[in-house]
Amino acid sequence: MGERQEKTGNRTGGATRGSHSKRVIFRRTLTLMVVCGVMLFVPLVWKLWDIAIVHHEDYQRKASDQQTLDLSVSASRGDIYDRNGNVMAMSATVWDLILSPRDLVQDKVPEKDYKDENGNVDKAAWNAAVEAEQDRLIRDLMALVPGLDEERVTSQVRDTEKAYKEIKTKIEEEEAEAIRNYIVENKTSHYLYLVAGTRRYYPYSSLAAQALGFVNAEGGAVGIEAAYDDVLEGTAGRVVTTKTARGTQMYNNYSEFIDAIDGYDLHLTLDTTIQSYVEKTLEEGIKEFDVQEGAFCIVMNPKTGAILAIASSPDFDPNNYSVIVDELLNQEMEEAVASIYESLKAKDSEGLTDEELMEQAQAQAYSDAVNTQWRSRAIDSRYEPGSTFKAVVLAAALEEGLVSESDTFYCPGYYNVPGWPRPISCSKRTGHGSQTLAEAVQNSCNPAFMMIGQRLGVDTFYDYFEAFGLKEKTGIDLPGEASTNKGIWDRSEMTGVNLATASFGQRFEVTPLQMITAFSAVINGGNLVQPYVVQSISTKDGTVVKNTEPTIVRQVVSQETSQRAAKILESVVSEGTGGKAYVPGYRIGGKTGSSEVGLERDHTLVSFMGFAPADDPEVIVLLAYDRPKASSPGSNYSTTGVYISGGNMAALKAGPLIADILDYMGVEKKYTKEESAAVDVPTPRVTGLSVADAAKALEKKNLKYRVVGEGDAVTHQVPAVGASVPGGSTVVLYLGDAVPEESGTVPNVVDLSYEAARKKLEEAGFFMRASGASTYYGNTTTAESQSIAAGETAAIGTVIDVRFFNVVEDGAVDAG
Amino acid sequence: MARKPKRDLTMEEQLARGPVDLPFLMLTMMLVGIGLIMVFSASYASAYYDSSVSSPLFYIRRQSLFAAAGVVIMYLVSKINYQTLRVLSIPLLIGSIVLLILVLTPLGVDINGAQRWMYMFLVAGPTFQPSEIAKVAVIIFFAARLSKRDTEKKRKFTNRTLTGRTLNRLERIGFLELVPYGLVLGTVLVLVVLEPHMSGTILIMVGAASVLFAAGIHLGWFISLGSLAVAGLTFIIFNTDYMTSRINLWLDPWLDPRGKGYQVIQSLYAIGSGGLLGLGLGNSRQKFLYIPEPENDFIFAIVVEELGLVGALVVLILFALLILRGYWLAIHARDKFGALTIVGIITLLAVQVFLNIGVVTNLIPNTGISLPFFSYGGTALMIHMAEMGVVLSISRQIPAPKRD
Repeated sequence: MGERQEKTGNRTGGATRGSHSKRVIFRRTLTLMVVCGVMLFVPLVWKLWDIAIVHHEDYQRKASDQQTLDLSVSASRGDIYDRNGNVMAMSATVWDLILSPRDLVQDKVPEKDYKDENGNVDKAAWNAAVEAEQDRLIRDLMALVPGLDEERVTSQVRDTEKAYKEIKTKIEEEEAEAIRNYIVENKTSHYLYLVAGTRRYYPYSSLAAQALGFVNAEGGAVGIEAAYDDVLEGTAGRVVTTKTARGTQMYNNYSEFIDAIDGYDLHLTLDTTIQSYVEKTLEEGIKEFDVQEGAFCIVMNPKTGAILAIASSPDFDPNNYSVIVDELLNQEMEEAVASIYESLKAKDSEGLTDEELMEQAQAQAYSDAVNTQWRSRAIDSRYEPGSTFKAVVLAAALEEGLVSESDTFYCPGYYNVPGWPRPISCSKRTGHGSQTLAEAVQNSCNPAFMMIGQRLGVDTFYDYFEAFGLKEKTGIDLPGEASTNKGIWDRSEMTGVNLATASFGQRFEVTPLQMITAFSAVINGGNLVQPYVVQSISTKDGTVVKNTEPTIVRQVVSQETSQRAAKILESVVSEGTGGKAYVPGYRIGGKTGSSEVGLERDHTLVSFMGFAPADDPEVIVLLAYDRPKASSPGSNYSTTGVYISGGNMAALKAGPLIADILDYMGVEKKYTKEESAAVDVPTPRVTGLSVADAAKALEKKNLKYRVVGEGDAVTHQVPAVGASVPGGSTVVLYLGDAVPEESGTVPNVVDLSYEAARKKLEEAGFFMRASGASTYYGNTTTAESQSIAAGETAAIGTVIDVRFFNVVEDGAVDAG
Repeated sequence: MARKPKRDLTMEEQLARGPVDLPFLMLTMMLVGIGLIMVFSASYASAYYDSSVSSPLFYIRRQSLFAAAGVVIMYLVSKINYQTLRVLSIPLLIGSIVLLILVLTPLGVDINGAQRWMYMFLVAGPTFQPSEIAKVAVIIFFAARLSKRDTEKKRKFTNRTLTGRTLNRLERIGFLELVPYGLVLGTVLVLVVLEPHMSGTILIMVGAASVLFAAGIHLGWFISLGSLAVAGLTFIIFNTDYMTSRINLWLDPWLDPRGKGYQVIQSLYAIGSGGLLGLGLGNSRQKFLYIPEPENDFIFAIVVEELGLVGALVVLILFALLILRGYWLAIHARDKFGALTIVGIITLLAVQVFLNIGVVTNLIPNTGISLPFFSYGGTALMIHMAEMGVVLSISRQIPAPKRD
């Protein structure tokens, strides 16, 4: 043992397991010191630098994306008021009911509840539980929300992949209340909840529909809603706040509130009352004249350009803007489907089935129809103004001194225009004969205006055409003003023939709005104004942000010219083609128009441009009906038996409309002497008086008298005290023993002139109330009908209505 | 017990009453202090939103109490003459092995399928991890044994038998010397793996290896065992789906942003939002339930988010200084036992810091190791401070340099 020990001891030196261990420990500890104390930290620092500095922004953005809750706070859309403060459009809160089918499952029957220890899911049991939960919800929803389609709801609830399903949208407050209670009671807010939204209401439904427009998902789509979308919509606010991973707010949340700025309110120049008059007039006219292509009307203050009413037919209800309400339009759409279908079928290259083609045709027809009803024809389409344009030519010629009131024009029924092979005929083929300037306008004589146009010449005509704003947009604050491009020939291309037809308003196009502003310039003192519909913009609390001042674009003709033109135009209504627009008491001026639309057969657009009071116009009205249906091809009469012309149709409807508007506006009636005849007066008591005293009393009331019998005092009178008779009627005074007859036989007055008819009736002891024509009863005016037929017996003193008839021929012309 | 006057003390006793190393103590206290502040900041939100805890201050109250207790324990441990640990290391080791066995019995507390915890008083009290104790026990036991290498004679066997010759050869290459260490370490590791507790296993291995390394065990063993481990790990990574997916997730956490990659992604967001100067103390947003248990393993992400890269570097420098000072103390330790003990404790600390921050920054795959002095966990903090106490105790016996 000892020997071996020695040997090994010699061989290995120390023969211990470690040697010089102190030095080894020192060296190795030093190594560890460098490795653990320094080197290990190097990658850590590098990595920290890389994350916190190099990729700082990237990570920070991602972090704040998940940490911030960015809620948008919707601004409430501004209301729209008419000029009297009636609400025309307003917004109210409505609710959308949203379901997250995915969260329903996760909340109510989480998959993990159906896992065993090994993490295997009992699929069958889970599915059954999910289905039961879904069924329960479907039942609840069907009971809770009326009007749901069960099939649709079922498919929505079962779609467990999705987290956003709109169960029902636009739920009104009362209904939402019940749903809200349900949500709170059943704590469903995590998967079934209400989202606030807004809905636009138009309390007057279809009134001024195209002017107001409507709001769809993207905002204002048509009309004022679109033009003033920026102003109305306001600025949505935001709440940016930090949230925890659970989606709740942090206790030390910093929140940034950007308040929603509510939209501004608009105060329009429109007047709901006038607008309703206008729309009623359009509707009536369309029925009365069997109008095929719709109608339009603009009512404006000619001095300021403020639009009081603007309407187009067919119209729609902005509350349900995608529904076609107009019967005619509906009918048209039905008809269009067939023709679109045919053309699609002819063009079809994809081999679609009949059903698909039909579907396409229907969709296209619907879209056409919907767009038609949304259009504001008065602004976004052009028409041939026809004779109404003569007012503009008249004003230009007066201003240039090329015509004067004393000029005479001879109309043989046609006019030869150099450069045109055939004579261009007048609407009255037999000719108007020799006429003064005023008469030429009253007669709407085309040859006379071709002459006036020639006096102006192409260049001057064109200058005035431009000056009256007919080559530029009016600048109204409504969207969709039609382009003025190609509305008329270029100046350089305009020929004498063009000038001739243009002089009576044919073969070129302007928008109705341009026409009414141009016409306004003729009669308002010569100023072209910029029309507008928004009078002021205000905040919700009433602070006016912007007020529209009337803008005068330019003075086109002098005040004097304007007054002269207005005077002549007034006579159109009192004595000319515009007679049907005459309303006693109001001085209405105007011009009729019957324009052929393009070269289409039997397509006449009848219009009337009227203004009142003529000496100081407060209101100007353009009323037009497009295509009253001719009773037979080529006939001048509509299916309803009315002669197709602006004078017989548009003027007839415009007169009462203007009178209504003036009444409503409180313009006082002023009767001329002749007009008093048309006004009924109560008969004063004259029995017991002397003839002289009775005469005095009657004269006060604008009544004449004749005497029957003899005596000093009046014993009886016809009509009786208090009975209304037209002014100017002759009261019969019975003196002494003379006693009036109880009754008499009504004579026949049809086809008699005004004076003759009146005389005949009064001789028989009756009174006449004339209607149907103005106070100007020319030789051509004859009684058309009487309210009590000839030969019948009626009480003495009865007032008999006699309707006079006056054939009005204007404008419409066969110019080839 | 009356304090003996200095003159009555033996040399040993006089040395044991030397001053503790102040820099090391101060660094420890600073880290504990900063750690407490960060636990306060990070835990407030999670406690606030946790309905199962009574108050937003729940975590910080507990952690403060444990920190206070930890300071006391550190002081008491530093008072112990560490030479006694040479003897105490054996009962300590046996005790920790017993605990590791007990934790596998129903006495252990199962959290998320891992049975790593025990109640301090077996059935009640705060929980602790026996593996934490095992770490220290292994280090001290190894240090105590390895410090006697120089005096340990090589074993000789007869060359006449094959066994004898083989044994002699094994002794010559130093294998026999390693056998007892291997047995002890193997026993402990097997028990820890059974819990299972991967990170604990790694740390015990690191602690033991560092002591063996410093003690002068031939580098060949480390190289060969290390390459064997790397080969095995590689094999596992490429042949088990679990490991493959973990590695893929490490390379790109966005593969599963809501699931397994979530924690790391949220950590990166926190660090990234911090930038250079951070959002300010208390202003972390990621602690609002984005990072799960922000007061725990991922507390360092909150440190960077609130204090920025600058704050993070300050913390890292404090750790680095503590570690360097620790090794400095090891080098100057009075004896090899002290030196090896410090090396084990400090290396363990350094690796734990590295692994934790490496995970938080996604430098290495997720291992689930807490950050010493920072992560919430009272008993772990106390054990760490006790370890520091051991280091301080050893530092007491470093003779003061002679003054000229």
